[in-house]
Amino acid sequence: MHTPLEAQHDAQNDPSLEGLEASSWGGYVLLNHPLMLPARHGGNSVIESCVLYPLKPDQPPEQACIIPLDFGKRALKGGGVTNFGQFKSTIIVDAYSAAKHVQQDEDEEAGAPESIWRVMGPDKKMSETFRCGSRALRMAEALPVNESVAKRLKDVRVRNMTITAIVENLAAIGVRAMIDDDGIPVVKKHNVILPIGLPANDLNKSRIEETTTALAGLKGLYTIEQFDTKTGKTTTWMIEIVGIIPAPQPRGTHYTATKTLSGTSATRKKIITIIDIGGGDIYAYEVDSSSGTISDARRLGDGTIAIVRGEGGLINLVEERYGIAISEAQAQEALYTHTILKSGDEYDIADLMEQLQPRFDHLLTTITITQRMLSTFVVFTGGGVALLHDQIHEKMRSGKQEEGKDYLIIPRAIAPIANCIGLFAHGYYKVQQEIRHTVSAYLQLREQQQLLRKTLEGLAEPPVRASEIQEELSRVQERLVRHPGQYYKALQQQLLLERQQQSQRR
Amino acid sequence: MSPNSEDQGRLRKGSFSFYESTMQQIEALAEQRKRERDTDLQKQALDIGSLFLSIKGAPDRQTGRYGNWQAEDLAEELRPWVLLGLDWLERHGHRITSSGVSPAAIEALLGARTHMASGPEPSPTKKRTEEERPEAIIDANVLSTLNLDDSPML
Repeated sequence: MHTPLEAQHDAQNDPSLEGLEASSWGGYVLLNHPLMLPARHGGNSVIESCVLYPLKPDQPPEQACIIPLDFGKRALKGGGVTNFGQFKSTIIVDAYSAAKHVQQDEDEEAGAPESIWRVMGPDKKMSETFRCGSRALRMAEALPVNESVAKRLKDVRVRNMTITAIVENLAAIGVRAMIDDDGIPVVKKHNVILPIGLPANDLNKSRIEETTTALAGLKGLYTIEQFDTKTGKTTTWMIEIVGIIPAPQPRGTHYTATKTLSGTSATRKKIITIIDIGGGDIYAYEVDSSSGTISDARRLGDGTIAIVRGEGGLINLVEERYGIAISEAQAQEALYTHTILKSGDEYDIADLMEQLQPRFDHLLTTITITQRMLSTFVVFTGGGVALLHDQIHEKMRSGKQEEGKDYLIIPRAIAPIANCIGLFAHGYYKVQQEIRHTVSAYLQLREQQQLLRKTLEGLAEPPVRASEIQEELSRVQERLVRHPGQYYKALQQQLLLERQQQSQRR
Repeated sequence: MSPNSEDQGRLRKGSFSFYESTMQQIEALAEQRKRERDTDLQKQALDIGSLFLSIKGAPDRQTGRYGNWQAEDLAEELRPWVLLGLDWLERHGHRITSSGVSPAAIEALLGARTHMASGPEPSPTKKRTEEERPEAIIDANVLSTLNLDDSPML
């Protein structure tokens, strides 16, 4: 039975680590273990998306949700962690169509509920009503999937799809649109921090500025209406994107495969080659494990799109067999589901998949494992891994490579979301770093306060000086009262302890 | 037991005669609560009120005390009343904090404010309550190896 990719992805069904370190982020997610870290005073602390984050320098911290997004060409892969430490993910196929008629589905057996959306962004313009994801495949409009990230985000349809992906992931981790305010349901505004995985080329010197400008444009307040065709109800969401952390996509797989939850290395491999078999492209990246520096990003060829296009491709075969034309996006999805829709019925196309075997084999030949790669630990990742898993094993074993020692194939159950898991980890560490900076600034202010107080107490004359210092002391106290760092008591103690240990070492 | 005219006279002639509305409030509460005498309520009002009075001004420069209280001791006494007050306000629809601030954050605020005057935080002596979520901390050395400064947050 094929698992539709566009479903809430829960890795609990695959018991085999297949060479993945159990202590790594990927290991935890694959085995469905709750993500936890040792707490300062004993016990464990759950890692979760929702954290207390200092949004403003002079106001109490507020709850913000870390929602990672892998900005792929075939699909938007998103995720998050529940308050029980469970990683949840969604895969939204890159398909968009305007929904001209919005009505409740009267047929009780019509299948899974569908969402129809409207989004109002910082520009205060309400969008058209639209569908996205696999439900939009049949009527999908052409989106600029092969353009740069900056160009893609300029398209308001892409922007709105990104926003709906964030909402879907918030819902997946148990966040609700409304809260109960003394018996009255109220729309709650959710702050979102978005670690976003981008193709490495969009972050190189020539494109970094346009990419970051386009990403910064995503920040702001959004109101989203989600109409459920099954219940006929509209849910209104309010989110504010308060922070965006761009990262190259391979960083995600790097962290998933090689980092423990506490950020240390789960493996002793110094240099890693990540081969990402995506829908649009196959890329190889070399990663220095100690610094995380990604270098030598090379496009090896077309991704799984090569299996569907051209003569003898899946689109061609479907047209010949069934007389219907399907889009590239539908064909890519069919590679995983092994079904197509014809006259409203689902048809099993497993026999067509057999005819495509030479194309699968050819795709693999475009991945040349060079001598340089063989001097590194090779990690295969991406949605294409699920399709080519056994063939990759065969290829590597024929070259006398040993699984776990020389190479790793990210297990099928998490390969499509491997980037996403690691992007969450990256975002989580970045947020911890920002909180640390805030608390450090708070402690410095407290030291200032103590110094000023001591100075004041030691001053006998002149009174004019004393009043200046008193004024400064009042200003510092005023800042201390408002400083968000005061809310992180355990981290304050940790930082003071670290300073103490540092000064003892000196 | 409602205050008789003799009691009323005694109350009004006392040193708190300026605060007639306060006295009327105490009388009304005593009337409502039947089992509590107004004189007992007065003592409680003095007790609780003196705590808030203590934090109105600066501590003694020599001793750092607020009257007879060290800041930490004062905080211990004051904290429950402040939390009760905040809870009451919340339950009666008068939230005075933003929706994003959790009760734990308010408790942390109270703790931080009372420690401000006394310098570095004392080591924790109390056991954590079940309601408090233990905080995870990523080691500073580990964070520095991740080169997170190369990934600025927009």
